[in-house]
Amino acid sequence: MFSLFSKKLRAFYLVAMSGLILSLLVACNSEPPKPMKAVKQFDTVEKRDEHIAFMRKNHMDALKHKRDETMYLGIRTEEHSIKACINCHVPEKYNGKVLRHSDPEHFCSTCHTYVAAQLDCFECHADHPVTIKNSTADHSVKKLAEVHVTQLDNKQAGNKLNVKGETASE
Amino acid sequence: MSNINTYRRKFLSGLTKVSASAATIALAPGVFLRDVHAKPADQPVSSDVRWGLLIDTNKLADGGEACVQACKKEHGWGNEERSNPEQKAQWIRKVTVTEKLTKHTVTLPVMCQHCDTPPCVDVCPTGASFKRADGIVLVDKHICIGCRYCMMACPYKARSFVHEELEDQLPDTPRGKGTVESCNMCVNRVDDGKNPACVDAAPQALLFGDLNDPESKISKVLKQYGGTQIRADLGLNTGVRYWGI
Repeated sequence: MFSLFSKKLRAFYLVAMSGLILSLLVACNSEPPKPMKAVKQFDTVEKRDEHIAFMRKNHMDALKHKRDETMYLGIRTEEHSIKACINCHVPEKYNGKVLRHSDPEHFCSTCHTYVAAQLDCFECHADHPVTIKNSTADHSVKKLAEVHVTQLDNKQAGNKLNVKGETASE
Repeated sequence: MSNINTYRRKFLSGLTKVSASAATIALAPGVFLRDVHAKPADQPVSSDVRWGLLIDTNKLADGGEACVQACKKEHGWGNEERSNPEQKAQWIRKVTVTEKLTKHTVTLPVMCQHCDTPPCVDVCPTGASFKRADGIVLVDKHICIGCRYCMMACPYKARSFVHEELEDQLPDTPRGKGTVESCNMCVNRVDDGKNPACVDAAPQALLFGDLNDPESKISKVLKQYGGTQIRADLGLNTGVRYWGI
């Protein structure tokens, strides 16, 4: 078949093909994208590497397991909670604006876009850390219950009969 | 729905109560230690506790507006821009009732009543609507398909459906399009040992506590003075009780 080509053409063909294959090889060799560095870092490199190795493979299972524990059993520890993930991995502000999951720089989106795995969490969950500024300090249940009961006791002395009377009239 | 075997239900709930009471620690004969406040964060909720709420409408000068605002702030609902007023989320709302003869008017805050036998849980086809061991009725939005049967079943109109895509939800209150939601008695706060947001907003009128613990303040005042359930005729044994209605 090659005898049909002239020698010049044959050489050109070989050069062109090898160039194409080389460029294809280069394109295939692209590294997966590097996600953003976490805001909070581990104390030691060993801990960090262990975390990375585990999470790369298991983060979806860990999250799902924790989600059911939180939802049904009320276990709200930081371990494997999506809130804790976000608080460490996503900065509150990035280049002066809130980083959303739709941005390619967002920690989760970087890889999820690359592997084309749909990311449903943030349809409902917060995709960036939120600090809630509460003007009133949170009181414990016990403390407030005590305050409340003194108020109730005061009420019961005079007001209580009123309450019962009104209930009866309806 | 009407085919629920009440005998069977009572028998089964009696069984759980027996096993629950066995879990309480006896310090001495007749002396029991019951720890109801702030469970350890890594421990599951227990059916030894049943959270309840007592609302004294006489003490709510604003008819519960402060509670509604506190709830909106805590959970971030009520700012759905593209929904019409009928579609907007409403975890808690003010209801004004007037007695026909006397014209006596009462305004009360109404939200999920956290029934002992919740109709929303009975009808849910996926099990998304469920009652937690400590009596708080919730929607697992991970498995809610948005069919809205629970909204029709609820006699208190307590549930809302999210009609639009949302942004900037609060970390402790995930909400999203296509799921049903309602008052969750601020589970995130309760698990943390705090009061629900509405109780902190009107501490003079609302009391939160454990209905299963006879020594809790709420149980004591309810034992002494009683408390009204809305639609008590339905026999749902609500966790939210009222005074002054």
